[in-house]
Amino acid sequence: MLQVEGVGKSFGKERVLHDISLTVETGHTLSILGASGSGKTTLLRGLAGLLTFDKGRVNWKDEDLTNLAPQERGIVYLYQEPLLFPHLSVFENIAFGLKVRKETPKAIESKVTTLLDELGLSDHAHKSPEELSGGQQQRVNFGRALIIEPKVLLLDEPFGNLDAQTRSNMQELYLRISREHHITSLFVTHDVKEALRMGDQWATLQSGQLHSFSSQADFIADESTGAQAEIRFWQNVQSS
Amino acid sequence: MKISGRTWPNSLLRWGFVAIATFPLLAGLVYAALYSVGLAGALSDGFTWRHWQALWAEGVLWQTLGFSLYIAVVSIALSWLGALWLVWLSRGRLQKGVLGYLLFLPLGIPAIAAAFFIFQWLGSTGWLSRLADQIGLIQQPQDFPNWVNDPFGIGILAAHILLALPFFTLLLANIYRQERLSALIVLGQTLGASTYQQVRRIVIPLLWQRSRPVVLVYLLFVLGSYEIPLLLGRSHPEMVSVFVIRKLQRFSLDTIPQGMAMAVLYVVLVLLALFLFYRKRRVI
Repeated sequence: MLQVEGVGKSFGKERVLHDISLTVETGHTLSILGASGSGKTTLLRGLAGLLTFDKGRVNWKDEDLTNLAPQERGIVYLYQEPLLFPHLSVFENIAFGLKVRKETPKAIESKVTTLLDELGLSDHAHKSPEELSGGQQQRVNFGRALIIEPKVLLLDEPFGNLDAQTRSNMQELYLRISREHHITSLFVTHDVKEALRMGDQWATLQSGQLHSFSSQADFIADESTGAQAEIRFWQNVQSS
Repeated sequence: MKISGRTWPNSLLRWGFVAIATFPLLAGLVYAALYSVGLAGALSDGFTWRHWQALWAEGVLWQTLGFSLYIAVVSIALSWLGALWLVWLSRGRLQKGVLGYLLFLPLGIPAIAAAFFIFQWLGSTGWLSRLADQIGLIQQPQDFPNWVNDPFGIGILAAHILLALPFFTLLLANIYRQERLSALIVLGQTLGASTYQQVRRIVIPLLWQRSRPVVLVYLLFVLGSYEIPLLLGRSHPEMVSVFVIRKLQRFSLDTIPQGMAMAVLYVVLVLLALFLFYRKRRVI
């Protein structure tokens, strides 16, 4: 279980995160709905150890991660765009985390081949990233993170740059993979439908303040999430 | 669909450019080749391998080519590694501020001026030797090690590094930014890579892969350099250009074919290296 207790961050006089606390159950996905500038990227970067919170603690089960370096946390931060290593092939990109952990070539070969198959990328193993479509690149991005079995996966609007159909396919793929691999994740998005679809737990982040909801029904009922506006829109379309 | 009215002028332009760019070189190469086997030139007296055999017999051929290659490889390797270190330390932000202007400065220095600076600095009675003498590191300026006109080409290496280091620093800093290496390093960090692994598995291979064609061109440029080895080198071993010019400009016309032979061999080896490099790139 990931537990975040009262973390905050300011840049100069600007307070970006206010006393944020949250809990994500092991194997669950917490969807965080937030507009641009709400502080969601700062929150994720802080959790990954890429910036230091001014206060608060980050715990995984009984382990205090607050002062650990990014490479020691076991928390992987995925950018909005896939950001694959351009000098490595698809296979080598996915194998990256295993190689830095000095796993044996045999184990790397076996694990990567299995995951490539699972992600539907077996035919692209030796291609370079620039030869892949946006959706395929994002699949490699997931594979590269999943293969090291991270404690927590932080996803910063991962499907924001994809077209509607690819986005839907990727959401489906991610749901399947995250359940199969029992992934604990924070999924940040500004799309209310995506937040509803991807999460097991829900929260909103507005002006650096996090509001958690106890159930999906509460999330939908709250006007600030935009779910009610979305429902009214489709009702109006249907009745007109 | 090709529009014939637009295709033929393009094709003509392309072949015209190729002809203008390659014909003089090709003609020069053929003339030099004929000269080196006694079929052209003022003293030509029929086909002979005599001049090639003379080069081969003296062992000068491989010493000259080997020394040139050593200077080119060592100076480029040290410059590239130095640039890598600077870019890594600055995280690719070297082009900003005063340092950015300072880096551009050596790019405008002619090779002969760089050679002269190095001569002033490293010569046995140069500034470094006097400084070492002043602070008591040596008894007299003449005790200073010989770094100019020395058998290891230290002066030549220093002059080439003086010119190449800023060039590679700017090149690598550009690649660092364009390829978003900062973001890739952060990503590598969250995937578990230590600082050493970030450098070894991300920074070096990516910068090397992207800068390799320019490195090759610069290497060829150093391989054929003239002014720097002329001022800072010894008469033996010599770099290729110095050897060729010396043979071509001697009072005796007998040495010209040897200079031509060396020039032909050098050009053929360079073209072969380029051919292999670009063929490999196409295969990749």
